[in-house]
Amino acid sequence: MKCKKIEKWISDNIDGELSERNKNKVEEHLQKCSLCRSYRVGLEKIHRTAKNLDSEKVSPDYWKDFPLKIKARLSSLTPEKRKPGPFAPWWKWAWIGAGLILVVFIGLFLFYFKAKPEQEVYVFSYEDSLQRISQEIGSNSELEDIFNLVILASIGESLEESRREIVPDFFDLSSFLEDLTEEELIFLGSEIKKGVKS
Amino acid sequence: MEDLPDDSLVDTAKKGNLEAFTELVRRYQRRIYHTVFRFTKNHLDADDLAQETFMKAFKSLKEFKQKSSFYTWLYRIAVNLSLNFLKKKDREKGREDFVENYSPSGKAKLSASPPENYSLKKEAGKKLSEAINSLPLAYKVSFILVVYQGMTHGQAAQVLRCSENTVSWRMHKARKILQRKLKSYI
Repeated sequence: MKCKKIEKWISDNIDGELSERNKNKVEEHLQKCSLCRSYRVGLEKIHRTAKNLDSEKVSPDYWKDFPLKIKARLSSLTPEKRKPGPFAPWWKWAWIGAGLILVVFIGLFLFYFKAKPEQEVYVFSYEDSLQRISQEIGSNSELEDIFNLVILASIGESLEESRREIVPDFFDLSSFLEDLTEEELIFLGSEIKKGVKS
Repeated sequence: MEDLPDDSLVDTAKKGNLEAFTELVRRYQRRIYHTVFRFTKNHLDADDLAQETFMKAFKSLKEFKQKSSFYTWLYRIAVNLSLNFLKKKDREKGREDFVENYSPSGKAKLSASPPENYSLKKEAGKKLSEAINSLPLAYKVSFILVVYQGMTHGQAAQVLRCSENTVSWRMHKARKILQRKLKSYI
């Protein structure tokens, strides 16, 4: 058995915390090991001397007065001070409640007043409009008639106005025409011709 | 009041009854005083700390759930206050030592010869007392509770909120340190 383990058991034994089985093991070891024997003698001497170290000698009057001093100090406390403070255990529920209410308020505030995501700004473009109109018209003959009658008629009117050097404020015709494909231009030209004839 | 067990007195004191609490003070004043005295080494500080222990105990009585004995709980307060006291004192001592060692008047004190005519036994006791004082705090507290207060490792563990095994190891280490420091006296 190692001396280190025995030294620990010697300490436990002095405190009366060693089992009978281990006590026997210590005794067996001590018969063979002089170093551990002198270690035990030293520890026992330290223990005895420590136990006999004088504690403060206090007069009997001190013990008689001490409880009265405490009582007087406690009596001088106002009832409010005797009550537990804002950090006493049951107060913690009040703090938790207050915290929860605060969280709910902040949540509601954020839910209702948070900045809405920026909406996309719709930029009017004739190209997109024409494309959408073409798609709509593509499968619907009725719409095609309306387009021919109404939209192209209005374009025709715009053209006539432009001839009179009045630039329509709602329609930049030249840039509109520049962006049209060749097919669209041919189609538009033929339609305009029809309109002019009629 | 004198015949009532601790638990009943605690229950009554919790309702604000000062008589019940005063009885608890009467029961434990000696043990608490002697424990804190082992830390403070002087009557004035020990008296202050013992009073503070009971004042704090009364103010915190409603928080005491009675899972441990009142005595263990009271010891815990006393030990915590003592440890805080020692930490504060160490800081102050550090400042004083600096002034003493580096001021002209301080150097004179260092060269003063030690008092003579000490009996060997008294000298050993004094050395032991100094050696115990210089133990690391954790070892010192365990040593005071077990050796001076006669607590079992289990009781000390409850006060210190650690395991019995920890107390056992601290006692072993403390004794090893003391044995090394006092080799020439034992």
